[in-house]
Amino acid sequence: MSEYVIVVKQDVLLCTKLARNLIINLQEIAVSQRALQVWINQEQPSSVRLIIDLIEEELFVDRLPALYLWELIAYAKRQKARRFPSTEFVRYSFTQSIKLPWQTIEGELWLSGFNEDQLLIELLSWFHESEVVVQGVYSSMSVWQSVLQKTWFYKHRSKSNLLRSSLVLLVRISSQDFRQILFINGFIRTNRLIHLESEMADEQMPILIQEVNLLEKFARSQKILGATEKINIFYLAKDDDECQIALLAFQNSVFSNQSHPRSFVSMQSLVSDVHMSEISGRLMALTLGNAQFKSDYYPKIVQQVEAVKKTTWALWITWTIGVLFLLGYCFSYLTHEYETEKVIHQLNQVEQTHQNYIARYMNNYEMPYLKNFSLNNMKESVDALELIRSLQQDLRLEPILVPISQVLTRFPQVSLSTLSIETESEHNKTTQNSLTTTTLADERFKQVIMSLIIEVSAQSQLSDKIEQVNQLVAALKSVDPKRLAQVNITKIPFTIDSSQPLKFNLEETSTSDKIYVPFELTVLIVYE
Amino acid sequence: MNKNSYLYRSLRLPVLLSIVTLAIAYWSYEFIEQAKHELDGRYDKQLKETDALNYEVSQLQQRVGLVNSYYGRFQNAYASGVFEVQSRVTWIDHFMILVKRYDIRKVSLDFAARSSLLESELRFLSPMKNLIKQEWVEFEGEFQHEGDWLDFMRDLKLNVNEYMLLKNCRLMTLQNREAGPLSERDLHFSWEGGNVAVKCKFRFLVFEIPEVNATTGKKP
Repeated sequence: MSEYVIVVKQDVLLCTKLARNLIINLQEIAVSQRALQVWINQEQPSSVRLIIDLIEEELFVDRLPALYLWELIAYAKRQKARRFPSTEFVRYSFTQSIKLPWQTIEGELWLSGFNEDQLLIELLSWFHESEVVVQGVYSSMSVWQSVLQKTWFYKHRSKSNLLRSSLVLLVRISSQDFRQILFINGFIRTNRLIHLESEMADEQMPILIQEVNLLEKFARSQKILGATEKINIFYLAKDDDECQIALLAFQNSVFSNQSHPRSFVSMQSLVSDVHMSEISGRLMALTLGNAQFKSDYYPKIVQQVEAVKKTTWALWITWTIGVLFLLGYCFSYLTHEYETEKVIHQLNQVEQTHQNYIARYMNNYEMPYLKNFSLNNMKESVDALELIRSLQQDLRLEPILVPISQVLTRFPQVSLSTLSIETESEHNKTTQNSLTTTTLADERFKQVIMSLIIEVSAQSQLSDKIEQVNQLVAALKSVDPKRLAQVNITKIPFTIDSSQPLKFNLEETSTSDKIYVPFELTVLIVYE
Repeated sequence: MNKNSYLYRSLRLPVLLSIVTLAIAYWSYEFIEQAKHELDGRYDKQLKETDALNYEVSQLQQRVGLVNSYYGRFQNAYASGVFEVQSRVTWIDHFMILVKRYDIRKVSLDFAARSSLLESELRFLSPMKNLIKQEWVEFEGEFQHEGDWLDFMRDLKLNVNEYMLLKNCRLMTLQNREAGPLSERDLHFSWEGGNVAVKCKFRFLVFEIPEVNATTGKKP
């Protein structure tokens, strides 16, 4: 991949073709449409980046009123239109760091640009005619700042260190010409060409120092440079001899801050390799090729290119997402198809087994009674048989009557005259009618009513008899298993309560002196 | 616009690709939706068929389960004649045999009309009510001894009606106990009458299982 960087100078264009950060070719061509057309025809570039290396970059400093951030931008735009009425080549920055949007900012607004930019406008229109895309327009100052960051300020690895320094970069661009670039507190001040007639280096130095001196005075007068601050000087020399001369000259000058010698050497080696007249252009092209800068200026054509670039990116991303979605959709369909086919296959198998089952049923299910009776009736009749049998089991008489007779034999004076065993009792009738239970309990024995007679002789005491009846009741109650739940005396033999009437007669005809008193017991029966 | 067209050159490829992709997407959407619809239709059809079969098989399995657990017992019961329709005539014959065997005096039998079970009667049998008919029988008679009565009850169940249910029973000694204690004479048999008067009420149950056509017992 190759890219093209064009350094725009006052009178010449340096057209560079870069590949992998190496200069493939570098051509100096005159600033004319014809010469540019020849180069374009020769190289066929699809896109170029421009470095504007015009010598005078103007800078204006405006004191800002206290403004909010959104007001500040409008203010800066108004100032820009005032300072550079015809140009698109302007950029601005604020001295204050970015604050929260609702805080006001007060400080200085720095505007820099070109007032005489006819050359650039023409150049852009030529590129436009040749259909070469201009990707960005860069100021040489930001490129130089990057050069400084990559060399002398590399060790600090910090941009802020450079931004806090005031320095001069002196670049020798030909035997007579020097480029003087001044940074003060991180802001580009000037980019000047110093032309010296003299051939001798040691004679040139004082003149260069004078120039720097002049700059410093200007900076102090503009209150850009503090009273105690000093300017660092960086000097890009042609060879070691000149370097020594420069060192000596700067040591003797009022400027005591010099750059570190070792940093000089690394930069020096780069510079000494190339042809003198191309040093600065080459350096800038390489630096731009190395780094991804943001365009400094945004003329309309660059804005358009930027917009197209963004749109292209957006389109690519959208397309990628779309393709991914499409693939996902296809894959989901394939998965769905696979799963469904599998399920259908399984269902088929299930259906097959069911059909087999039905076939087997049809073959084997030939039973005689099924032809005559419905299965449900068969089930119900068998169930009914069992229920009736279990009820009959409960309705057996012996388990109830045998314990009663056993108890009665223990009481010889008591004899049984009537026994009535019933499946419904007065006591249960009322409660169980409301219930709709389908248990067997409704049909079981509920009670046994016994009419009994106790023999009373005249000699015996009445209380003994009463005690005997009570004992009989207790004996019936204590029969195991506890089927006889409750024994009630429903008709009492003797009423000793004086509030009740009592009839007691001795029959004259009685052959013996014994009388017989009837009473009645009701035994409630429960089943476990 | 034409003059600036070179600026938009980089858009050409993605736009073209997007259009192609859209076309492919549309085509594949049509295709996939169609195929999906068909597939789902097939799946639904298969599912319905399988469901129907499943239902049928489960019905059959229920039937088989019923047959497994009830058929044998029903067969045995049927073979032993439990479900045969019994009539009063046979019952009375058997009663007479029992009356002779136990020398019961003053026998009276009172058969009520054969009827279905009412809603409130024998509620535990209400699910199979329509299979069962009942007849109330009131028995009165005089036994020589209470033990005879117990044996009579047992034989009644064995010989007359296997599914008779006792409703109530009243036993009464015929001697006038109030007149005196149990004497030697009381324990002797009396040819004129018995010693224990018994009045019982039974419920005779009869199964009447309706026969059905052969086809309904079988499923295709």
